[in-house]
Amino acid sequence: MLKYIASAGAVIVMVIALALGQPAQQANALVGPNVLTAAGAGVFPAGANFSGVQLAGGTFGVGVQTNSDGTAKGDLEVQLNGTSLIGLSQWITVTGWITGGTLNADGSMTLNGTGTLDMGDGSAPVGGLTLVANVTVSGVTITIGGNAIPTLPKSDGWIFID
Amino acid sequence: MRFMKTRASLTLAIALALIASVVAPTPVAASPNAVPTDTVGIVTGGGTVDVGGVVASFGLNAKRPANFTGGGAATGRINYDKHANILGGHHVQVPVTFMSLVLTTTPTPNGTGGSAQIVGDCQAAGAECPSNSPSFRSVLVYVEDNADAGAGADAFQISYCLEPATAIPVTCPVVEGGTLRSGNIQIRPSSGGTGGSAPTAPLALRRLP
Repeated sequence: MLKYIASAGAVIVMVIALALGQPAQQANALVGPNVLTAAGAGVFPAGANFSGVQLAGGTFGVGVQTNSDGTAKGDLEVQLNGTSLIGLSQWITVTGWITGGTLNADGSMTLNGTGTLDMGDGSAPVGGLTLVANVTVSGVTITIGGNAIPTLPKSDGWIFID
Repeated sequence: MRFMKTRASLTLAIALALIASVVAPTPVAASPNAVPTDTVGIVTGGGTVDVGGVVASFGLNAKRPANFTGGGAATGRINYDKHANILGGHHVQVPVTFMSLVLTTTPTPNGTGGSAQIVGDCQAAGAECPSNSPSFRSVLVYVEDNADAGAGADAFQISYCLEPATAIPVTCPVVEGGTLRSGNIQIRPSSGGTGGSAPTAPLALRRLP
């Protein structure tokens, strides 16, 4: 009998936990038609690194229009410059085909889509990678193919979320 | 005799074909000023172009306003940053006021394609355009969406103009841009529907010296 009560109690606790967790997630995303436009450049803080490349700076260009159902259409392009492990200049290019986007409660925008990663080391660009980008008025953070690139701060140019 | 007659006819046919190929007018691209202002569609873009040996980044959005019935009105934004070096260079940050748009009759596999002229207002509150005397009052951006993988195929061109941003300006003494070195332009009938399948971008160009 005690076993049944304990099981029922556990189920109730799980249901309550899920119920409490759900609204909190929804409150973080403000779905609506928005327009994100950005073009600029930035300088990485010392120590920024991606796949063994010491990152120095980068440029970005973004044009995305989101819909109230969370879908979006648009383009994202980021080019990062740095130094390879053997001291050579290396340019990494990320090109994103954006298909989803939401405005977050903190004013940032999260974009989802598929991207191409060109490591700039002579190897062929790799396409079809999952792309998630978080864009604030002060910088761009990208995760491509599950690999996070350090936030590129905006030092020059514009990032507009209308 | 019959052989000679046949040969003469063949020669005449070839000659006529050659003359026709010379005389026939070569198809020319439609004048950018001829694109219609009533077409409904959206334009998005992000990437870089080469401006005389300097890389410039752009971000672009344009669409028709709610309850649009024609006449060229548009909303959106144009951002453009010419990187003379990583910091500095000159900027454009303007709201979009006017657009003319042509949707292609042969869309890409993802259903996009066409060309557009987009006008941004340098005189709007908070807008930024390069300084000039007399002042630039508008910018005119001409874009082409020619392929799903935009680099090397799509185009972005920006002009600085003396007329206000109420129609397509014609006095634009400075023109920059061209074929995309990286990024993409998408021109499509509406913002709805699926995004299609993402193309793999071509090998990116390295930073210019």
